[in-house]
Amino acid sequence: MSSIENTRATALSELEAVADAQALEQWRVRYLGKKGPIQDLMGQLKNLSPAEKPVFGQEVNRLKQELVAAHAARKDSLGSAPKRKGRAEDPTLPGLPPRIGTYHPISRMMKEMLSCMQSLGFEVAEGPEIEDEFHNFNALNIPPDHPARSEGDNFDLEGNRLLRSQTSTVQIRVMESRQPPLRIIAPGRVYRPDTVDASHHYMFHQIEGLAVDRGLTMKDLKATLILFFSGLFGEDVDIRLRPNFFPFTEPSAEVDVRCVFCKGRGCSTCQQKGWIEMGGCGMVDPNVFKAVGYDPEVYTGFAFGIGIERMAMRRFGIPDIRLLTENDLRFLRQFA
Amino acid sequence: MKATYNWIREYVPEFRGDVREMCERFTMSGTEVEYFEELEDDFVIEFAVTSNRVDCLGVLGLARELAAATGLPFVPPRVELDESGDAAGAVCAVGIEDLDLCSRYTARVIEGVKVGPSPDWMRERLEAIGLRPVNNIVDATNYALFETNQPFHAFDLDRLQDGAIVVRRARKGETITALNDKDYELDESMLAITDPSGPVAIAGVMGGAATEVGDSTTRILLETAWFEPLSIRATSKKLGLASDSSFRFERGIDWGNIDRAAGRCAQLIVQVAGGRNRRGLVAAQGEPPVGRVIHFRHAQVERITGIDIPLDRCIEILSALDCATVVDDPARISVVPPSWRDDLEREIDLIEEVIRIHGLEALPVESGMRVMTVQEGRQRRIQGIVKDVFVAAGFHETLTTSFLAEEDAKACFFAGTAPLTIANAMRKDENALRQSLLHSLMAVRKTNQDHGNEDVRLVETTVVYLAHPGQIIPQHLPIVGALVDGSLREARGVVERLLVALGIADAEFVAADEDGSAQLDGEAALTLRLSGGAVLGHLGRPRREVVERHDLKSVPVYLELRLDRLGEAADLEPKYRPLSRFPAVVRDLAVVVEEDLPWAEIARLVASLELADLDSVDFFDEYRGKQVGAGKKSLAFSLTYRSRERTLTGDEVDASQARLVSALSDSFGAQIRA
Repeated sequence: MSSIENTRATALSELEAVADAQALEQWRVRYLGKKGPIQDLMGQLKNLSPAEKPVFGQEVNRLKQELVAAHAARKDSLGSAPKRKGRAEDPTLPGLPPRIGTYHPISRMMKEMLSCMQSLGFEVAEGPEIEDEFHNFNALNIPPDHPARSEGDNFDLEGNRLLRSQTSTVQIRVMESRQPPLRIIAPGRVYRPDTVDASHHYMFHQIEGLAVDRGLTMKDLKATLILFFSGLFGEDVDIRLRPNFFPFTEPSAEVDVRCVFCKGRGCSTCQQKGWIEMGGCGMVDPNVFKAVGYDPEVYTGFAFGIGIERMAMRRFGIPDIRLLTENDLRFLRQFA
Repeated sequence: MKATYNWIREYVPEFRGDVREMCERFTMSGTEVEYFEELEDDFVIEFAVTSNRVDCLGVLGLARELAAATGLPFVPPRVELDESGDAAGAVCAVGIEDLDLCSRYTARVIEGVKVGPSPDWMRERLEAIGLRPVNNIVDATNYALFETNQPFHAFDLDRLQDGAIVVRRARKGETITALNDKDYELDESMLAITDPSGPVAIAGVMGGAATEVGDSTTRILLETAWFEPLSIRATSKKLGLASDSSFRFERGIDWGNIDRAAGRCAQLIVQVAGGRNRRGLVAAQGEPPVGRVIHFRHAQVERITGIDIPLDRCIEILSALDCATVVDDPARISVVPPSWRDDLEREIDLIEEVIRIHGLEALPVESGMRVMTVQEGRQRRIQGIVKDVFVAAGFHETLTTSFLAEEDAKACFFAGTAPLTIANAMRKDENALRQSLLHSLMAVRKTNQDHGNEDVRLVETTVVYLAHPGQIIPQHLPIVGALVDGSLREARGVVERLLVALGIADAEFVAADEDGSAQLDGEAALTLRLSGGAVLGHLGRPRREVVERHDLKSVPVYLELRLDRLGEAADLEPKYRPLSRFPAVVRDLAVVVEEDLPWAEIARLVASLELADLDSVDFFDEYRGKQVGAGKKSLAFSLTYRSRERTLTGDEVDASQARLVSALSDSFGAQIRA
């Protein structure tokens, strides 16, 4: 009797483990085929007493029916696997790449920076690249005799127009058309007649942040910059502000981030300084507020501007700014 | 601006820090150190002095900053000059004709000098900051210049006619040979130092060769003056001639420092070249600049910086910067900045000084900014979707510059105008602003051809510039341009997918309009427009001249769409439509028609029949060959029938198909292909 039980137990547990149609067929041949254990059990009948034979025979038959039914059920549960066409596949061949393009590294960097600022409640604003002197200079507290206005520092167009040399122009356009509180982040192209080399280009990108409200201070500026840079570089980012001069902010500062490569010890990336210069910032100069009709005794504000190219070049390890505008597919494909 | 560690420390003797600490102090108080370099027994430090701090273009100015930043005493050199001899006024005279360009001119006279090399200590310092030693007189004036930030000029008094100097505008046609041995023609816009014979120096820019100090010189006339900055800048620019002196004069030097600096320079000359100073200054001047009083409300410091810096500390900082303070009212004190700080004009300037010296490190990281929510603007959303669709379809986003050669910049798909040109372009092939991405992307295709990259797909979103008459700010038209190595169908497929993504259902491709065919080739060019007529863009193969202009070996497909119009037409909120629970019946059909019958005609006919429960018509193949015969083609498509109410019977569908087949036969003579 125990051999019947053993066969049942082994067969059913093996059936349980069957995972596909092929294994199921192997199982069927093994247990229900002409040389299987059922046949072996039947062969044992002749050695039994006449009294034992019918009982044993019935048991074997029942086992056989049981296994046939179990096979059918398993076959159902596996489903009828669709037939594969042709030859067996070689699973070691390299995968077929789906056809997907890439975003330009400047786009990627810009998107990342904007999304950090958007999460801080800054709204994306844009302005024209071709500007008049009022928006590019006068309103930004850059008087007519300022060296930045001399010929050769800007691309001039007819009719006292020029290509904007900084995205700060968008500050003016937004403040002219809206009242505080406001918080904007302005991305865009800017132009300066620099000779093109590995680290300079006459067209590059900046983002400019501006917040104006009652009661904003340099503390808010510093906190915003820390949140922004920790969004980009991780929570343990360390920044410092050091005094600088810009016509449109006062007090003005340069914002440095502790070099993430050497942790401030000094390396080639940070030119041994331990800090990497990110951009300029400061409190909006009262003269800028006056130019757009805000009362500097009522409102305060802060602004900052950061170059995208340098940031992207460091992030992606791009050694030459000219690669960004050459658009060689072998380059573009690397930013998948 | 270069200076050395020991030189600066000479005037802040109590500073005990090493060179690193000195650099850190400067950088963190606003005078950035670019680098420092070790010398034999000193360090040279390169400073990036900001444009508002002319006073820091001299070592004394830098030392004053270090003293203020560290709270240590500032000890300038003592000026000790023998004033006991004969008066200088006995041997020279000065006069100013154009007081608007020169408000003070002084002369000192040193007699009995012996011209020769200067002592090692002076030569070493000058060499350390990048100057070439010349002789003791020139070196002493240079040394004094870099120490005091006041430019000087030493004339050989015996070569000045009558020792009589007049400062006046040059006369047209007057010329001078400068110290660099080059001849310059002056005009009435330039200020000249003259003697009765004519110009002897270009004021503030460079001295003349004729009155230069030489080996035989024994009597020096030392000029120390103030010249109007804009005039010096204009002259320097016009002549293409700049010097350490013009660099400082054009930024505005300290009027109040002239006489002290003159004494210091005379002292140095006597020290290194011997001789004796004649008593007194010979001077002429106009109106001296007036000092200003700035009201400083203490509460404003916290309002701007966010931290409370006590009034005592504010006064301490301002005093360290040589500002005079009068506390008549603690809430609003009066501050008089020193003569060398013309940049301090307003209360906000003083607040900056206070926080700068107090240290920005003192700002804690805390903020009480209000919560504000933001929404992505529609145009940016559209731009994002457009980029996503193209990238998902295998396009690589490019970044090209806005400049083209003027000829290429004329190309425009949307009623272009004459392109805007750049007055001071750096290159001829980049002298105009583009009105289309066509030439930019074709040029990128060429770059990739040169690099052996095939099967190229490019996309870029940008603005192009259309200058309509009367507009100050030209139209900045947002567009997407894309280029595909492949078939028109592939390019069209991407555009159709984009329309789906933007929820634009009523756009159609029609034969290219005038704008489209101006850039694109022949009959295969298409214009995409809304059923209302507004043009969204164009698609096709660029005209042959364009392909040849860029030297391309194959002709790609180019398309350009207006993002503004796509934005207006887009429906960015897809709505659910109920799904039919009943099975579809699909019938394929292949018909043989005349070669020139466009698919669109067949599609239009199918639509016009309004076949019952027809769900979709999908083209899938076009075939030409022996089997269909010359001048013919076979078009294969499938029709899907599906009802929302019930399962369709084969008979119903067959009836519709029969109607279709006979209509095709009637309209186009189409034959069903078995």
